[in-house]
Amino acid sequence: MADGRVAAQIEKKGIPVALEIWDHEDIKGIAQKAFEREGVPEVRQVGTPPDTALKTVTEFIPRFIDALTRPLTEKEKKSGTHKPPPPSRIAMTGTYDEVQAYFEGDLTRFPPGRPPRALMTDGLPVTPPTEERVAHMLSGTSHAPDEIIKVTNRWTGEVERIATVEKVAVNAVMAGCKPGYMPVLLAMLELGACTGAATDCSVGHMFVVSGPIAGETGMNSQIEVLSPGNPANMSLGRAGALMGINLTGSSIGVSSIGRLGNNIWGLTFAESENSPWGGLNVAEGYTAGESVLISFSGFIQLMPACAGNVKIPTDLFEFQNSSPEHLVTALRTCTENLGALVLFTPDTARIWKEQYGFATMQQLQDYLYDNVTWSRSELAAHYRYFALEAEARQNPRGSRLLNPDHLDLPDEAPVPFIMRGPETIKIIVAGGEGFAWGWGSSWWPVATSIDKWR
Amino acid sequence: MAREGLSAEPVYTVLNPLAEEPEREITSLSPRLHHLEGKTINVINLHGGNEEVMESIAADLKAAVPGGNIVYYRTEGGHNSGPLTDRDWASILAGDAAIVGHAY
Repeated sequence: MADGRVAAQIEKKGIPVALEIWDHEDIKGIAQKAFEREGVPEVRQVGTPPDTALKTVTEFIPRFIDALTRPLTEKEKKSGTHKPPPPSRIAMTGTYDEVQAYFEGDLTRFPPGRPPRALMTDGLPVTPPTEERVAHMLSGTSHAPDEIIKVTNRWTGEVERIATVEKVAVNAVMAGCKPGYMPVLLAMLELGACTGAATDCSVGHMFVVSGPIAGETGMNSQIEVLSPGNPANMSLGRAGALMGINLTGSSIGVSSIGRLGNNIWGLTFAESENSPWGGLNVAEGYTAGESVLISFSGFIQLMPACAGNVKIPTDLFEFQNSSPEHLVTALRTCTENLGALVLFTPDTARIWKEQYGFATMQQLQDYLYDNVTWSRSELAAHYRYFALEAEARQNPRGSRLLNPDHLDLPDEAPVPFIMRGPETIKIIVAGGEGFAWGWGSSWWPVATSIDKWR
Repeated sequence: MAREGLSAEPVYTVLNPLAEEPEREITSLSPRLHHLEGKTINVINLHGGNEEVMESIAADLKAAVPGGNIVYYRTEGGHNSGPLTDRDWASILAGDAAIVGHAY
């Protein structure tokens, strides 16, 4: 929460602050995390009714005055180094049910009417992470169990938690993974796993594996690639979620409070080996023989579809393969413009290369960037125009990115919709034989080597 | 690993899945003002969603503290717009206290 961080930053510069905040437990929880990140235990807050139609808060003015003038308590005066005690290595000993109850946590801690959330799991039973199982899991990597992984916040770059290779193995056991998955999991944590985001926006997480390890671990890149059933895809995705809960300092429903949440929370699958454009590993700057993990997060939307879902096809060929016009229409439906996703089956990708002439992935990215546009007047009418305009003004005139030149155009002139450039439109080739495609969005993806974690 | 307890049901000793929290330096809050009369109070709008609430706080505070210098300030940076700018900080630090929001 930017507001909480700014409030804490101002306090640190010697200015007393009263933070106006929605009087809502979730919002306050996010703010509290923001204060702690800035090293301020708590900022004085004045809770106001959580209502977007609210226009005035006159009756709260005495509380603002009080927050700025009431002398500090001893607790508020405290400063120095805070070192929370590390968690014990052994969690507990108990029966299967007792183990499950321990990881689930005391669900009665939630007030009446508030749906409970599991403490250290995704809500489902987990495999008990015993010494023996964890040791077996660790056989999947050459890295030492006590090797430290500093878990950084994807959005702020700050170190949130200190994990180890062994902690990854513990979560991997709980998720039902096999030792061979460890390099993928370590790469996943390196990229932040499913950490959520300190926002009430409904963000999510998705991971795509590109390269030989997908085949080695038996990941699915073929028919029903997005559906359940494949042990590697499913347990990797689950481990991503568990690592997000246990290793990143994030807490779903506390520090990440999407009003709807996201049904893509750890979705993990493999890229097809039969892409006519080469793999994402190469597109991300690695070699075709390297295994690479690509992490997608933020506002993830993914619509598996066929052409008829977007725009009426005129013939069977167009129905099966779609057309560039259909894809442009589809991407224009996305509500987020910090990046885009395109998912093609290998056959569809081949047709797009052979029939539509997109010889490289980059050519298709460029085409989409230039054609998925909105008008200058639509941009100006956006409720967050102030932020979009500020970003545009940071880009050089004459560049392809949204820049000050675009802001000077007539109302009807097209301006770029995908804010951060063609490379943020990711083309993923996966799925079974035949023709299908999907589209969606995510914030800017990041990639890392899986092989270095072998 | 599983061992036999008093009952036939196996018992497991399990490892802790939680990571360690890093060490942090913590800072005390700034000293409070004795009163707001004659002080410059910035009411800072970070563009968090409900601009009108912040405007109303500034107006109501002026009415409640007639001798105070109440400054309504819309930041250049802040919520979703990157960090505060140098100009934002100069304005904020020129004040004696701040009300920040709307945290929606």
